[in-house]
Formats: sequence, C-alpha cells, structure tokens
Amino acid sequence: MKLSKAFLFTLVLLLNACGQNSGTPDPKKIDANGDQWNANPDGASLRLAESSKWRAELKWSQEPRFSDEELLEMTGVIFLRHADGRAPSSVINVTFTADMPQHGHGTGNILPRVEPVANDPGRYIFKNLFFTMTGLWRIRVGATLDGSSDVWSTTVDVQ
Amino acid sequence: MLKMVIKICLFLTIVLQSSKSMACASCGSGGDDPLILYPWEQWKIYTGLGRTSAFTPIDAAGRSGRELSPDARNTTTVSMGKTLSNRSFVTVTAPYIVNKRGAYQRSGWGDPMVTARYTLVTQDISQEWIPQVQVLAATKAGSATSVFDYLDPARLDVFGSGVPEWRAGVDIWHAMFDWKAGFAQTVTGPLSSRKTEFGEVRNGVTYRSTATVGYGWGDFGKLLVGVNREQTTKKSLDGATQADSDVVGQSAFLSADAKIEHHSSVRLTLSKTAAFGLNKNTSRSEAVTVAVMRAF
Repeated sequence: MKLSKAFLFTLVLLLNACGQNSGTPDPKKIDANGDQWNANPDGASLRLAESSKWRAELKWSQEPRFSDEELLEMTGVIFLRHADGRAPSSVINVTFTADMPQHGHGTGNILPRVEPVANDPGRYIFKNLFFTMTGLWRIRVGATLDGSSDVWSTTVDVQ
Repeated sequence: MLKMVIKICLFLTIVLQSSKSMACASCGSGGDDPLILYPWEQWKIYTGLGRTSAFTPIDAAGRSGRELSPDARNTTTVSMGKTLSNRSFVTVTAPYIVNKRGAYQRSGWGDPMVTARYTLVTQDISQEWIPQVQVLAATKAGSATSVFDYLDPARLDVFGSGVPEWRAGVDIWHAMFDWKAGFAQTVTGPLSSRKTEFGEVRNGVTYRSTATVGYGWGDFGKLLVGVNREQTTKKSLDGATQADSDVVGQSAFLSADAKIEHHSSVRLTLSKTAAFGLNKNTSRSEAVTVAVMRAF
C-alpha cells in the first residue's frame, strides 16, 4: 500500500514536471531562421502586425524614450517574414515612418533610415529616429514582399 | 453764431467720443492680427517686439509633457494698414522670428497674412448702447518652415504653420463709456492639405472666441483684460479622421495702450496660452509684447 502510494506520488510529480514543459506556451517561438518571435511583446520588442501572408516584428535596441537633456537616437531591427516564418525572396520599397497622429506631424525632414542586413532578406536595421517630444507616436513599416505590398503600424507612448 | 458753435461742439464731441470708442475686441489679445485703423487714419504702421517662452506641450489627455523646443522665441511683427473707406480697411502682417535654445538660434520669416475689416455698425453718440460690429476676412500663407519640414531636432527652424489658411469672423466692441467690453468670434480653416512622408494631413477648423473687458482714460489710453478659447476639430490623414486629435486651448491676456503723441501710441501685452481650464493637444507658453503704432 505504501509502495503504491509512493509510486502514485512519484508518477504525479513526473507528470507535473512534464506538464510544466509542454502545457505552458513558451513565450518565445523560434522560427525557421532561428529568430525569436515574441508571442507576448515586452517593452523592448513588439509585433507590428500579422496579416494572412506576412509577419512583421520590430525590436528596439533600447527602450523608446525622450530626453530633454540630450538628443537620443532610437535604433532597432525590423523582421519581415512569411506567415510560416520563412524569409521572403524579394523585399523592395521598405519604408519606416514615425508620426504623432493626435498632433498631425511627424519627424519633419529628419527622416528615419532603413538599411538591409547583408545576406538576410527581410531583416532591416532602422536608425536616425528621434522622438522630439513625449506622447503617443505611431510607427509605420511598409514593404513589398515577393510582390505583395503592405503597411504595418503600431503606437508607442514615449515618456 | 450760436448754432454754429453748438454744431462745432457737437462735431468735436462725436470725434473725441469716436476716438476712444474705436478699437476691436480682439486687437489687444496677443493674436496675429493686432492692427486696426480708425476712419480718419489713411495709413498706419505697427511694429511689435514679442518674446514667448516656457513652452510646454499638452497632450490629448490634458497632461503636460516635454519636448525639444526653443527656450524662447523672439518675434518682430510688422503690420501695415490702409483705409479703403470710412468703414473698411486692410492690413498686411508679417512676423520675423528668432528661435533660441541655449547658445543656438535660427531665424526666419513667418507666414504673412492679409486681413480686411468692414464696419457693419458704427458707434454713435445718439445711440450709445449700440456697439460697433465689424466683420473680417483674412488669408494667411503657409510658406514658412513648419512642423512638417523642420531639420533642427529642437525645431528652431519652425516659423510657420505649414498650411495656408482662411479666416472669417465678427468683432463686437462697445467703448462709448469709460468701461469697455467686446466679443469676437473667428473661424479659421486650411486652404489645402499637406503631403508628408506618412500621408496627407488636413488640419481641422478652428473656432476662436475672445471676450474682452477694460477701462479707458479718455483719449490717453486703456487697459484691457480678456480670455480666448480655441477649439479645433479633428485632423484627418489620407481622408481618415484621427481620433483624439482635436485641440482645445484657453488663454488669457492683459493689454495696455497709451497715446504718446497725436498719431502714435504704444501697447504692452502679456499673455499666456493654455492658461486655465481644459486644454488638449496644444502648447502652454507665456509671452510679452511691446508694440508701437503710428498713423499717417
């Protein structure tokens, strides 16, 4: 009887341990290219949109914020992938803009720049982005991937 | 002879009363249309030196924020007016702006504006409770560097709105007595949209109400205080209305005019934008302006 209870107890423990590995979703998924996609975006990384064809994710190199003591350049990486995580064959017309929808203005003629990462289609570095005031900013990423054009956007409350 | 003397006295009384009654409700409010002409003035020049500082952005929730902006903006406003008839005149106004931040500064012309005013109802000593009623129409260029095309991160090179505008309004002013009061209502709208890298932006329509009260000391001068309320409808981007983009701003001003010689006067104006009540999507600032006006 004691042996049966011990066996059942051990079995329960083992099942519970297995459940922790497979029952709870891993917050980070690894796609076919080895990139990590955040299912639950944290403060430094966010998913822009997931259409039926494409996935776009933006990762900040630093927490997006404003400083009135120094001019802070925001940089980061944009990932553009097929819905199943495959890298696109062709990416053209990549655009990156930032504006304040409640104020009706963007970054003036200080335009963010987007540069491709060599030998990695669909991965781009963005730079030259300066948040000149606190408040709600909208980030828009546009591209034509394998002949299909789309624009993804998200907002960030810069403080 | 006695009848002639009475007529002359009556004429002088009307003229002197007119000289202290003519003005407008919005003239001393620190706005961008500061010059008015009396019917006997053929030409008039206004030169104002203003300093605006303490800029603080106000967001859509009415909270104060922070921004990279000038520490101070010095504005030299030049306005010239011409009488067209004893009821109408036109003015041309242009600001020259110097934006400063620390040791850095940028300067340039702001957007010029042309305004025409017509007096529908003139004040008359025989009906002393009837106020003066003026209507106005104006157009303002949108050619100066603006928030749509600045190159300086602190926006030291922002001198204009970036969009040409039209304006129409009515100005009611009662100044037959020593105590004076008036009310002005204007509507300002964009003449065009603005293409940007993130889409085509169209500003909303602004409704501005000005209420002024004050006291005058004969022909020597007057002291006015007043409030403005500005409300702008939501902006649109590529035809789609942008949520929470409407603007509300409530400002206050104090203005003092003094005559320094027969055809010249000086004005001191203190004003504060977003001074009280609910304000959203606007900017708080404080300004002091000294102006000289000379008629010919």
